[in-house]
Parts: sequence; structure tokens; C-alpha cells
Amino acid sequence: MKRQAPPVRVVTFRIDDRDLSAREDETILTVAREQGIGIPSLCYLEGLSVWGACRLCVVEIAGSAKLVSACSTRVTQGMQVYSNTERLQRYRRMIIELLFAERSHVCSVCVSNGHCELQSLAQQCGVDHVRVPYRNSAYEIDSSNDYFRLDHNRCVLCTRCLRVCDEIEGAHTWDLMGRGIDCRVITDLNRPWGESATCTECGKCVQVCPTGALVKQGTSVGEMTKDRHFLPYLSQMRHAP
Amino acid sequence: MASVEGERGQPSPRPPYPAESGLWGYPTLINNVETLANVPAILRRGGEWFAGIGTEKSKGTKVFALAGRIQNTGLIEVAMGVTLREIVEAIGGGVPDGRKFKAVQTGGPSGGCLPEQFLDLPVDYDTLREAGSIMGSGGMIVMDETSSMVDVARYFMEFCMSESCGKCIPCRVGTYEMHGLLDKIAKGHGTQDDLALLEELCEVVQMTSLCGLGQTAPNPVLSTLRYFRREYEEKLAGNDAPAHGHAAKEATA
Repeated sequence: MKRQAPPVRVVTFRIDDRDLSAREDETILTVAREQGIGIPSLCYLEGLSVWGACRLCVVEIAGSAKLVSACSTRVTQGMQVYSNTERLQRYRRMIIELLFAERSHVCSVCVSNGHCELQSLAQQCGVDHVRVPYRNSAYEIDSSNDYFRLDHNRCVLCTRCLRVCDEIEGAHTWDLMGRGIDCRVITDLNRPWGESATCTECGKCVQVCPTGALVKQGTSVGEMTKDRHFLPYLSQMRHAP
Repeated sequence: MASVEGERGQPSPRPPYPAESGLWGYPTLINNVETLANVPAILRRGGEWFAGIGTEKSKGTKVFALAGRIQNTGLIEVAMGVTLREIVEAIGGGVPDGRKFKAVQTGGPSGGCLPEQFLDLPVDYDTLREAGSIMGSGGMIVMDETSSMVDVARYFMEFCMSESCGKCIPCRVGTYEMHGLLDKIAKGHGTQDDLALLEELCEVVQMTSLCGLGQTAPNPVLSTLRYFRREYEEKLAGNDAPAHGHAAKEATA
């Protein structure tokens, strides 16, 4: 016999100076998005599981010394959230600077120029300079797949590709290898993408990738636009009871 | 927990805490071996006996791994509340070769370095935290007058950098960049700008990292800056000629 899920309560709380109410199983980020409160995020993508790794959506909670990620924290009764304090803005700018320094994100020669989430986040958060020393990464580009191309130098390790491939397509072609600064995404057991036995070449990873790390073959500077219309629909179908 | 489940060894955002939803989604209790090792003794001799050892808030005993510039290295077990001086001088036998004590680093790689004026503090959780260090894993490393505190900070940052799993950005890139800046300063090439950037990175990595490793990785830098800032300043001396300033780069070149 199927167990009846307990009824979900509605809680009231504040984000910045706005009184809000929501179901207690909603996260701070979903409520903020519904209300048009702009909390920046990068690894989060509606329709995929929560990863909580980019730390751009960190917010302050009154009475708590620790910051929490809005994507993974549920709203509670009486909670007061501060979503955009001077301190948070400073931290977010630094995190974006760290991303720019980690790999080689040169927008002017990128196929995703103008359609890139990292680029718009930098603009949105006011990152006009990078003060941390560049790593000048020079990873080899994997162009072995007939339809798609992987450029590690544009990758932010958000793992959206891993999650969409595993959770929506069900192929689990993508994985992470290495640790710390040496982390990178791989296909199968670090074989060239074109030789992958599991990849269905559906292209979902390319569409969810926020930057120019995963792109279609044959695109030139600024030509790569991404289309994610499939995601809410497929996500709903996969998670249907 | 992720490793036990056969997954990549990476932390998950909390809440939910393991006690609520842990291994394979079930409530999970996580304790150190050291904690569990106390259980038989407490069962045999009673909680009152155990609580009679130590201080008001930190009860019982604690095992430390004593190492560094000290006569007697090794594992020691002491009652909570003994002073650092008793550990360093009476048990450890003091600094060898007639050299002068400089600092003791407590709590493992992500703990803090405490200078001589803290030697008479009782060793318990609250006192160590107030002094800017932690009990942590119970590591205790003694440094003498010949140790460079910038080198010490760089060494511990190297550890944190290589232990970072790479999941969250502040820890993955932040520890790498902090290590790079510490290396530059240690080699005598650092500028005031580098030091300012290092301090800013410490704050961001401490406040925004996903798990305890990143949140505590800046501790050795912060505590050495707090008590031995002069050593950093000395390494910078003469590097701030106008032409040597830190050139800022365009983000979107």
C-alpha cells in the first residue's frame, strides 16, 4: 500500500524586505526566482538535481554566522534571508574572478560569446577586472565527436552535463576525474568522446552547458546559442510518480 | 559517506545533516575513532568518573600527536585543561639544541599557530577557539625561532590544496591561488597588493566553501597573519616600487 505523504505546510518568512509565503519544501532560490529576486547561480539548473557547488547563491540568514546556499536550503517559518548584501556581492565577485582565473575564458574568441552564463554573471555582478593570477590552462580540445566539441578551457565544472546525462538521458556518459584544481569532466573512462560506447549523441549536455565548454561542431565566434526547452518537460516525465 | 556508497568522495550541502538523512538516505551517526574509544572506559567506570577529568566545558582526555621542533615526539594523552607549556616543555621536553620556542600549531593542517604568549592557556575547545586555533584532529606541531611562519602557512596551504576534492569553486581555485600567493611572498617576490588579495581570498574561502576543509583551510594563514604579520611584511620589503605593482587584467579580453 502506498504511504500517504504528509500534507505540506505553508510557511511565512522574509527575503530582504519582502514578506513572503511558500510551501515548506521549497528552497530559498526557487522562491526568490518566482518573486523576481535576483540571486545569481551557476551550477543550479531547474529540472536537474541540486549540486550546491558554485557557491554563488550563498545568502545570509539572520541569527546564523554561516552562509547557506539558496539552492539547497529550504525556507522555514520566520526565517529572515538577506540575498544581496555588500558582503555577499564582494564574495560573489571573487568567486567569479576565481573561475576566470582557473581556466582560459577568453570571451572575444569564444563560440558562446554573448550567450554565456559566466559572461552574463560577470556583467551582472560587476566583475570588470580579475585580480587573481591566471592559471593559463591549456587543456587539449576533444573534437573527436562528429556533432559536438569539448573545450576544457571553458569548463566551470558545474556538472550540469553529468547530471542531465545521468538523470534525464539515462546514459551516464559523463564523469569527473582528478581532484582539486586537476578536476575535469571526462566521457566514459576518459576515452575520446567520439569513441564513447555509451553516448547517445542526444546533445542535452551541450544545451545545458552554461559556457562554451560543450558546443556544436561547426559554430564560430558568438554563434553557439543554447536551447533548454526540453528540460522542464522531460524532467517532469522522468520524475512522475 | 559518499565513498561508502561507492560514489566519488565529495561532500553534499547541509542540511539535511547525516543524523537526519545520511548513508543511503538513512539517519547516520558519524564519530571519530578517538570518540568511540572513550565509550568502553565510560561504560566501565561511569560518566561521573569521566566528567571528573578535564575542565567545566571540555571533559575527559585528549590524544595529541606531538611533532616538530621538540625533544620528544609521539602520541600523548592528557587531561583537558592542561596548559600548552606543560605539553611542550614537561612532556615534549622543550625545543632541542637550545633554540627558542616560537609557536605551536594545533588542530592539524587547518588549525592555527599560537605564539609564546599563549603557552599558559589551558588546552580546551573554547580557549583554543578564542585564541584563533582549533582542537581539530589533535595534531600539535612545535616551531622554533628558525621556522619561517610564511613557509609554515605555505606548507599547510599546499596540503589543503592537494586535499581539495574540487567540487566547490572557492576551495578548488581559492586554495590554489592562496598557495600561489604564499609561494610568491615566501620567495620574496610579493607586494602589498598580493598580501591584501591573500587576506581577501582567506575571507571568501572561509565563508563560502561547501565543507569544513575549505572553511578551515585559511586558518593557518589567518593565525600567522594575526600573530606574525611582521614576517610577511619583511618578505615584502622593497617590492612595492610603482612599476612592480600588480597589473590587473581585463576579465573579458
